[in-house]
Amino acid sequence: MTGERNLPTTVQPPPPWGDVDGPWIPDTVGRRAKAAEAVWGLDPDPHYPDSVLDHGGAGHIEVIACSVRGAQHRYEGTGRQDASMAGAAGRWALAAVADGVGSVPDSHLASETAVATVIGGLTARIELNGDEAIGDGRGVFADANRGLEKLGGPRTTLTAAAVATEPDAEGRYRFWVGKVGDSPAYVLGTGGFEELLAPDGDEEFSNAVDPMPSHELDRHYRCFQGHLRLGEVLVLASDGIGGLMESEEASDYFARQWAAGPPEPSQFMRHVQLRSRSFDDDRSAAALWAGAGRDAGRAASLRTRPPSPDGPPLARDLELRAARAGGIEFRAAARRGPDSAAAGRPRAVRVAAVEAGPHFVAAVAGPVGEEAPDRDAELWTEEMLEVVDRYPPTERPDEWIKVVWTRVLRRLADRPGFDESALACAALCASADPDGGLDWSVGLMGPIGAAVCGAGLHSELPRMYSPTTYGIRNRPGEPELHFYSERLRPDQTLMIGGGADPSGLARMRGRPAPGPLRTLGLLDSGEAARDRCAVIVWGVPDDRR
Amino acid sequence: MEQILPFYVVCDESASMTDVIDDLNNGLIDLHQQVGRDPVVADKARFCVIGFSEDAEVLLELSDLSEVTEMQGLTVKSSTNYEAAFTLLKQTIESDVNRLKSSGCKVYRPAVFFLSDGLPNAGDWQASFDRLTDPAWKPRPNIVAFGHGDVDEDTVSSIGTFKSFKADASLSHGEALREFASALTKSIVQSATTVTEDGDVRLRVPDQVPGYTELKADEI
Repeated sequence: MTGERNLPTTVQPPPPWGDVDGPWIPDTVGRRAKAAEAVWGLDPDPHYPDSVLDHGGAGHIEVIACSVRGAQHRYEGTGRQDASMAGAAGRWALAAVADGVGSVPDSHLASETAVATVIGGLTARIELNGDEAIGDGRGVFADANRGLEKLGGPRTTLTAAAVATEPDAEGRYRFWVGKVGDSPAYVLGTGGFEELLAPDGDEEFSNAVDPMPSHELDRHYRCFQGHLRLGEVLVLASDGIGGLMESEEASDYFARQWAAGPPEPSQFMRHVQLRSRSFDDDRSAAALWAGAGRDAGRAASLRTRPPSPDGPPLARDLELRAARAGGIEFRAAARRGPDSAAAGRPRAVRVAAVEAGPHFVAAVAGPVGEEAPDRDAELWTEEMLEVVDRYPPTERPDEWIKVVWTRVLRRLADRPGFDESALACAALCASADPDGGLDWSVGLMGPIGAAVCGAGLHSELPRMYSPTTYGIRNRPGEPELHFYSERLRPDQTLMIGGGADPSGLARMRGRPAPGPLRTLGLLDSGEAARDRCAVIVWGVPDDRR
Repeated sequence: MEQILPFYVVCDESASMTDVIDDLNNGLIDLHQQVGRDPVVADKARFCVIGFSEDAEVLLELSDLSEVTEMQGLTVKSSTNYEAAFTLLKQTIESDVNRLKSSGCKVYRPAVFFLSDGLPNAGDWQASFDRLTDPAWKPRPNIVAFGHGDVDEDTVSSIGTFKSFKADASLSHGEALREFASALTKSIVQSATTVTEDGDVRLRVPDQVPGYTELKADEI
């Protein structure tokens, strides 16, 4: 057998997924990055959402700190290993970025612990010693190193910074950067990015990470103190951005987007996701703009409350999840509203999402009124996650959701100070039909929205259906629980949430199917002052999965 | 700028492959489907097929498998000329790497999967092999060698600079070739999706390949 023959080979690429239009689609440098257009899988740990962002100002400094899953983790449905955080203490704006070492399990715990302990440690020391604390960056890193040792395995890089919120006599802003590992720091000025503490030696052999915890912290810890001029930007990044910075096209892109001043937070999140073929690592960037808050009245203040060492990871000012799981598309987002942001308060609303067999389960919760305890939404969401994990959905989700809800409230009744009448919350359980419809059950308590959108219209559930209604203990004045169980048509979308406006979703051209970043845009159109959150679901027919 | 992990499969097309060439071709079709459909892998990996017999020929230029619509299959010819294979491989790698680098790509060390089922019967292959693996030549590839049939273990293990395997007759010749293609697929997927601790990309090859026994590297 000789001669030539051609093998029958074609691969049909799937259509791009996610944000495909308008100001929401991330930009691309170079050739098309197919991995960045692929369907996202759900984050395996509900405490580590796909994308997180902190945003606010302190004095003259404005900060945005953002981490997002890279294309590979999104495609595989594995978790984000990067973390970032911003904060403020005394006369200092703070930010940190950490990149969990991917070859070790649970590296997301290491990066989260690293940024939380370094921001917490800086806050505590600044409150105690004022500006002198900035001279002891090594001590703060040693504390973080000890915290990481306790995790017993996972490792991470850590780069942190503090920038003075007021200028010195020469109009410059003092800053400090400390780092262990290869997450770079830059000053962005009129001449582009200049790397601080750049690795020495031959470029080809310089990418040793030397992460934390480290037995030789003194050898690996490096720091830099300097001054930012008015208009300069201090940028911390994980390797996912640092690798891109080696390309002139990408570093010019970031310089163009960030040199003129802070962009809208959701736009910063879009910039961080710049598409570049084969660059599929998690991305983190924290930018501190010197002088950006000098003149204008500020919309958002950085959180001043340090992260708590116990409990779930600190809720960032903004978080976003998006995925296709089975035949269900979902988006879940929460962001700090203008009232909390102006006061420098943490975000009080919570949102959580998990896959449970063929079911998708989501919960949203928030306080009712100014006086409501802001821990209750977190308590309720945490209990909901635990109960769902222990009692996964049955074949009768309409019955199951009532049972789960009752169990959650029963467990919370023992918590001192928990007040269900000061809480608005919703839970959703959905499963997909082969034809693109969804069977859903929703429970609602307190003033929280739930609407079906389609054909340009939106309708709140109570206007369409009659709920089953319960009292918790059948006492007068206590909140009622409302349960709905219906089917969503293939051309409809269901949205539950607080402070978000379903009319924006309903008005989307075609079927209401927002991409991940577009979902953040929908939160912006919500009620003026409150924290906002939304969970949006719709079905995907079998032949398009 | 792109990060690129180039794979070269270099296959024996000598007469002794007559009964099994379809198994190998089918294995390459499966490889194309699996690698081409995985956007994370396809964004990084590039794949080239070189066939050799009395001469050597590039059957598929170094390609992005998600964009390949036609792949020239392997066909059976006559003899087994290693010298032609190694010489063409070195030329091909050299020009591919130069082309990619000049277009701004970051190129990782090439990986070669070398498959032969017979003793070399023409040419002075050792000199061409030394040029291919010369430590002074920067893009020298990591070579994984697979031997079948008459090829002797010493030859296979001296060619496999990274790993070497010899068919052990636990599977039929055709079945073993399917496993070869499957191991190659796994290697491409794992190498493109597993980063090392320092964020680097390295060649990964399955420790065990059904139908083959791994040959121990010479101890010195």
